[in-house]
Amino acid sequence: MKQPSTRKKPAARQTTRGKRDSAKYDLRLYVAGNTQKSSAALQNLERICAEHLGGQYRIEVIDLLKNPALARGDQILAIPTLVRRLPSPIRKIIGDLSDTSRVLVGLDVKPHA
Amino acid sequence: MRAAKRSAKSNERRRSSRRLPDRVQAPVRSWPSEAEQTLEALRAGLIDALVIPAGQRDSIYALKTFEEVEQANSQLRESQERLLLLLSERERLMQDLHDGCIQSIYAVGLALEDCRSLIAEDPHRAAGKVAQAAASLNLVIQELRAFISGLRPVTLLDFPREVGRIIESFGMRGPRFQIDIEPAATRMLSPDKAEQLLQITREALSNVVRHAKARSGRISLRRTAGKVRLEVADNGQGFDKNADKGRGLGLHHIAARVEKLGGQLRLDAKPAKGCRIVVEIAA
Repeated sequence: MKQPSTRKKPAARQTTRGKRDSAKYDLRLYVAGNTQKSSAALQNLERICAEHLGGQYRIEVIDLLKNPALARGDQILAIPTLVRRLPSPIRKIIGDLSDTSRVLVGLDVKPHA
Repeated sequence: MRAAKRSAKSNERRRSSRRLPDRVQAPVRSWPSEAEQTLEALRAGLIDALVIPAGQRDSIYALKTFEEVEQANSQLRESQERLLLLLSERERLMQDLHDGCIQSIYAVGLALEDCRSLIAEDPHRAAGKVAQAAASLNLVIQELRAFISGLRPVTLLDFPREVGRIIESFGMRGPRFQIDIEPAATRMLSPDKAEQLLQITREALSNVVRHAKARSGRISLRRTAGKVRLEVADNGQGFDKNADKGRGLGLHHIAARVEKLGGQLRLDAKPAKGCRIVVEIAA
């Protein structure tokens, strides 16, 4: 399986993983530092993507503790929140992403039950 | 041949369009809204922070982790409790000063007023009144010292005697009071309740002397079905209790003391029909 590569960190954003141009899934994860749920959400997301998205994804991690104003862009209410920017439409998944099945439904990888 | 094939295909299309679907698909559930998800995640404990808009400007969005919110709430609760405690203590001091020391000083003032006319008529009696006023002031000083040091008298009051002293302190002012205190009722009272009832009595009597223009008054303390009932009444000018709600601190303090005792207060007053204050507390 193709592993996502790490790109240079943008100014306000913490980490971006994967290739933007070729990625089928463009995902943005909003976290708050290294809090328990934020860390869990990132770990769960990386695992789910590695297992189910076949390398065709890009994860952008935005730490709102460093810049809370970035929450406005995607109108974030809660942390952690995953925003699926691609494929459209934009969809948000709120929580620590511990329910793999639900995350896959949210990403449209798996149909609704 | 081609025409026959086209006709067959066309018939097949028509038939298939009329055919019922093999299975009816379940309606597609829409993805829950962000608000629904947030509530659900909050209930399930799946999130650890909320983004709170701090104003209209983009740059002042504040982010609070649950720990920070909980810590802030805890500090706020502690501050509120401290403030309530301070306010309660302040209220108690105001009540005690108003109903105790201030009434005592007021009574001394009344006695000295009486002395003014007595000096010419009966200097000997006037000297006695002045000496009595000085003694009363010494008692007030003792009371104030007790407030300052935070030491309150906890001994059981001699209720009838204290009421007698209050009436005596009014001197020649005010109406003639009839006192009806049932000893069994005073024995039912704890020192604190007795002190509170005495302060209520002092305030009520002071109101009668200052405002009622009454010819007579009555104070009674009796037992009634496990309760103690205090009644202070006069036959003075009365007032309209519905129209005149801003009567100073006195009645407010009486009401606050009754509430503190978990008792009930009734005020009967009408213009030209006198006034009656009834307080009932559990013994």
